[in-house]
Amino acid sequence: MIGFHVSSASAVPAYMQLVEQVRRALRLGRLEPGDRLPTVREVAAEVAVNPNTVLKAYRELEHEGLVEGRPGQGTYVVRSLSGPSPQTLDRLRASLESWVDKARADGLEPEHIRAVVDSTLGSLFDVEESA
Amino acid sequence: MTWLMWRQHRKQLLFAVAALVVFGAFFVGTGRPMHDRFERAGLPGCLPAAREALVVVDLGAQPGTPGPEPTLPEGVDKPPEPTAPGVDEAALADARCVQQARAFYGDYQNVPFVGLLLLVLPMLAGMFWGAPLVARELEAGTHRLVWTQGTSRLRWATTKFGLVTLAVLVLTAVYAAMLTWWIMPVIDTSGQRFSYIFFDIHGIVVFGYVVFALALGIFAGAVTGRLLPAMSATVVGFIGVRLLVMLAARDHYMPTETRRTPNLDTSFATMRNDLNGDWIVATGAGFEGNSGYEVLTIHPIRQFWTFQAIETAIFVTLALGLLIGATYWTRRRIS
Amino acid sequence: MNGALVADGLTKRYRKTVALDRCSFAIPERSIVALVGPNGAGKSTLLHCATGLVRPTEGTLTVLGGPPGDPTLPRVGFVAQDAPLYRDFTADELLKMGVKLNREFDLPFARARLFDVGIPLDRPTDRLSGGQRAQVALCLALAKRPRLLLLDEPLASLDPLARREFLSALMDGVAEEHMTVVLSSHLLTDLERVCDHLMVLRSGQVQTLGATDELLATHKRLIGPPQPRRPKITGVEQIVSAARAERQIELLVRTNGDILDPAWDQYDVSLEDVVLAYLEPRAGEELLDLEVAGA
Repeated sequence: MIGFHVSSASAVPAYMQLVEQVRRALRLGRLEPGDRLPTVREVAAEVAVNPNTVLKAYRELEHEGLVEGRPGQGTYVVRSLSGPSPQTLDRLRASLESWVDKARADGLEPEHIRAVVDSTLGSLFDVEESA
Repeated sequence: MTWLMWRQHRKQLLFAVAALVVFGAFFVGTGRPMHDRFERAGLPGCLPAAREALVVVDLGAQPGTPGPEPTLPEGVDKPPEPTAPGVDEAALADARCVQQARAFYGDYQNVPFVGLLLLVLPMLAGMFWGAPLVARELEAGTHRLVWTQGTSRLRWATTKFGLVTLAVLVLTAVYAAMLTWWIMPVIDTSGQRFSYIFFDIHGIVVFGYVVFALALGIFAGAVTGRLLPAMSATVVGFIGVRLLVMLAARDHYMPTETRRTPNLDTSFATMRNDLNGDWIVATGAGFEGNSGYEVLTIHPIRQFWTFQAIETAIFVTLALGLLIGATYWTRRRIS
Repeated sequence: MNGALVADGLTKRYRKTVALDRCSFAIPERSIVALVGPNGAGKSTLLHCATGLVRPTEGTLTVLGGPPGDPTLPRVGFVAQDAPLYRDFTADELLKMGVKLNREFDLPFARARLFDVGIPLDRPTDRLSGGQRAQVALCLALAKRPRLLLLDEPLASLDPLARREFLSALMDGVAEEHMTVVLSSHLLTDLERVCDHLMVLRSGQVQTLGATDELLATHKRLIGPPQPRRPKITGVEQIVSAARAERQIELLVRTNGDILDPAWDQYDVSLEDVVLAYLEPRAGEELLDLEVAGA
């Protein structure tokens, strides 16, 4: 389970802080679709905030399509946030396609293209790891 | 609610019971030998008759009798029988009894001083059991806890005052019984049942004093809301009212009687019988022929229990008034 | 007016002081209200009136639809300032007292709560910490299953950790029960996170009462150049406080929904700002003379 906290000093309203924390947990994979969020009462008690604040946060998450409230059972995560958004994927795919076109025009066969991609991946991620 | 009162005051109750046990040990420990001595001197048998006589022969003044008695050694109770020619047997028996009684009383002259200390006891009950009852609650702020539960303040006050008063009365009954048993020989041989110390510490008046002091403490605590001022007020109030009643009112409970002692037979010396126990308010004298007589203004001893009842009633009434006042004040009290 | 706690002209006078001065307000049911004001503002007096500990001099106070005191106390939970308890009683004995003195008292619930916050039931309360005593007092109040919970400066003498634990326990109790809660304090910061309504009391008078969201939305700080007397400011319903500096004046205002006069720079405010403004209108007479338009 994730831990919540609300900072009074922050300019962000309390409920938004909770929403952010759920989103971050989803992004980092700490929460996955099918997980049940703690009850409003549990969060209100843990964080010492008004239960309405928690309700508001959960409603906002529901509005964003990230969670779903099931009567009598609780609030469940229904969507994942890890990985890039579909728009990012489309953009990257588009620029990859234009590069592959260029490589083809220069006479590279698919095996060559794959080799170039592999070695680039290798050196780039290696550099990052040793950096 | 009863449980709560018991739990809150159980330490005080246990302390009181312990004090009673200590008193009991003292009374029994010193009372046993005293009662033995009293019985060995034959006093329980001869005193009732001896007290009736208004005058007795003064054995010490008879011709032919030995001089003043030396102090009696322990265990020796009967002095050698003095003779008094011309005196009848009954009068002689009374005279000897009076002499025995005087000897007995002389050995226990400390008892009235103990009595002085015992006068203070009711006041202590008021200070330590009455004053804290409401005052401690207010000082600690716990009235804001107990008066906001689901039980009314009236019920709280009546239960609390009622239970404490009841417990104190029971304890007082035990104490009074022990004390009266202990002290009766001394009172009987003193002839001063009406005196300011003896009257106040035995009989039923002690109930009146205790319940009055308790009520005074409770009332002072409720009104002042603070323990020390309540205790001080209890001391001042108790002493003030007691003195007022004792010195100014007690004399007037019943009308006095006049008694003229019989003309004295000049063939042998007689003296007034102090063992009567009458309360002598004023004395006068006169002569008839060549014998003197006394005219006394007295409250005779037979008025004793009426006096006790009246004084007890006064203090119980005052106590009731104070308890009602305390209940009313507690109900109306601002936090 | 309807509400869990409704006052109409509520006044309490002592010999020399006026503790409450013609207060009229309605606290909505199910709200969690921060009752804020400086020492001596009348917060305790108000709560004591609601519990029947103090009798009002004038005016009325309606508690859950009934009069304060014996008739309504069974549904009102109260923790007085400094959480008074019988010091030589154990927590269990205090719960027993609760059972004996109340028609409805949920003993298993109370015991479970104390266990949850780690309070031993068999220790005399004077051997508990201040925070633990506050928890016991809260537990006693919650075990009545009240519809209205009144807490008089519950955090005042607690260290930060104990404060957090108290508020946690309080929110836990509130979430389950749907009750109205009034917490008084002279500090807002602790209460901001738990309260959804704010009531400001100063010198025995109610300065404002409203939902915190609404208060934040309707109050703004306006800064503008020094004004000649009595300019009109559209969109402002009330000037709450004002301050004059050399080259500008600064106002904290309550808006009425119309567009604010653009001649003024406007800024959002925090709840703390709102409270301070209602507590200390530090304005000279001439600034408060400013008229408002569009009211």
